Amino acid sequence: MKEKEISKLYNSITNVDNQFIEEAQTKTKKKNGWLKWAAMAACLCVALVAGVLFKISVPDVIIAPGFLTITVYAASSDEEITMQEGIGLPTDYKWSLAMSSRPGLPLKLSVTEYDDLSFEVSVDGGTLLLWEGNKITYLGSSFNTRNDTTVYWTNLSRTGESDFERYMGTTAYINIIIHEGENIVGYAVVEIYTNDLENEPAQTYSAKLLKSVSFPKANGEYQKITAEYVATEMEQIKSETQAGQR
Amino acid sequence: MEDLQIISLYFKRDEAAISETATKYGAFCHRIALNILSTSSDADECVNDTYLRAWNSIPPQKPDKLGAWLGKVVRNIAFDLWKKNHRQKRYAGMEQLLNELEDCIPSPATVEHQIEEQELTNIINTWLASLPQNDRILFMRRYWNGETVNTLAQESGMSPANMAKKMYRLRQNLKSKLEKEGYSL
Repeated sequence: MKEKEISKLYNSITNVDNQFIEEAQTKTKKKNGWLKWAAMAACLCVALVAGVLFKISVPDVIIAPGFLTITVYAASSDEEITMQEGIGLPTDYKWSLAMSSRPGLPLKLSVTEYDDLSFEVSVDGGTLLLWEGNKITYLGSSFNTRNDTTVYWTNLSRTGESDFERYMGTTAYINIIIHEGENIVGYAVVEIYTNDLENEPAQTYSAKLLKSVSFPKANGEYQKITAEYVATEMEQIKSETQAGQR
Repeated sequence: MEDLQIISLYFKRDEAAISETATKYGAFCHRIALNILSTSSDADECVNDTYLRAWNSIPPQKPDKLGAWLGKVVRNIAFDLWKKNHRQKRYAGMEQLLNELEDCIPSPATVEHQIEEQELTNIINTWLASLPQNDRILFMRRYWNGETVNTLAQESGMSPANMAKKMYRLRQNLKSKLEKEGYSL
């Protein structure tokens, strides 16, 4: 390999996204054996005491890694990528109203393991829309949709026939609750964020899958997962994310 | 001190910016430089040059993540220093002459060159995002931080030979991605 090509590769690796650089600075330290056992013993004691005192009122929920696949498309090509927990989008996939050929940041929601699926989707900032056959349909802040739907997130909200308002927050969250028939079988939380809010109107938005969870059947039966339980869990995930960013 | 506060010191042209940078990121910068150059005195020189470049570049630049930005600068300076020292050791006198004459040549960093590198970076970003987190961290620690295979093996509880095999597979995986995208390095 020629020196010039090595330099090019070295420089390109040097300039990868900051998130990968930061991620690589967090080392997994080996724990001392006794410390691990002591911590486990302490946790067990606390759990036993808590169980005795409060008779454990928390619902006995079995959770598993999420089965929802969220596919994101590049801003100006047909390249696609599957979102992974905790990882923001590569540069090509970030969306900007001024620069992208798409009307919003595309997120295709799909699940292959269940048949009668629907998604209950809500967003707390900006707007989600559908873009089918060049027709744009603005969705409410909460709506239901079917499997394999691509929704687009935009920082514009429609306030009239041809009036729009720009979302001025740096972060928005998309909650996705997965239903099979009447049962909740999973959920996911996606964070949409920008670091250049002042760069109006060319703000660039990225997205990160914060958490994806599924609720497998227990003894062949659906678990009784309530909307309140899921809402509490999703709020907890957002709070932890926000605390981590401070 | 928070990054934003340090950056504001640079913008005010307050020399405390350098000492605050050194306090917060000095060890990080030194570690990266030392991983690449293997000599503490060279690493010191590299870190000092990094502070100088930060002083000269901020403003107008305003890094989002100061640590990552400094790390990139350290890697660039360390690589240049390594190339310079490497040539000097091999060919002594003649290379010294050529190195000095290089000062007369305009920077090769043309716009076209930068665009090519940016495209390659985008492909690597996409590839990194597609990796399982453990593999991505290992790749970055080896090829961005410059940590040794032995260190990574020890921390992961693997043998150095197995870690080397893992690195080989990751490099082959990246090669295959680059070839798919039309790059043949």
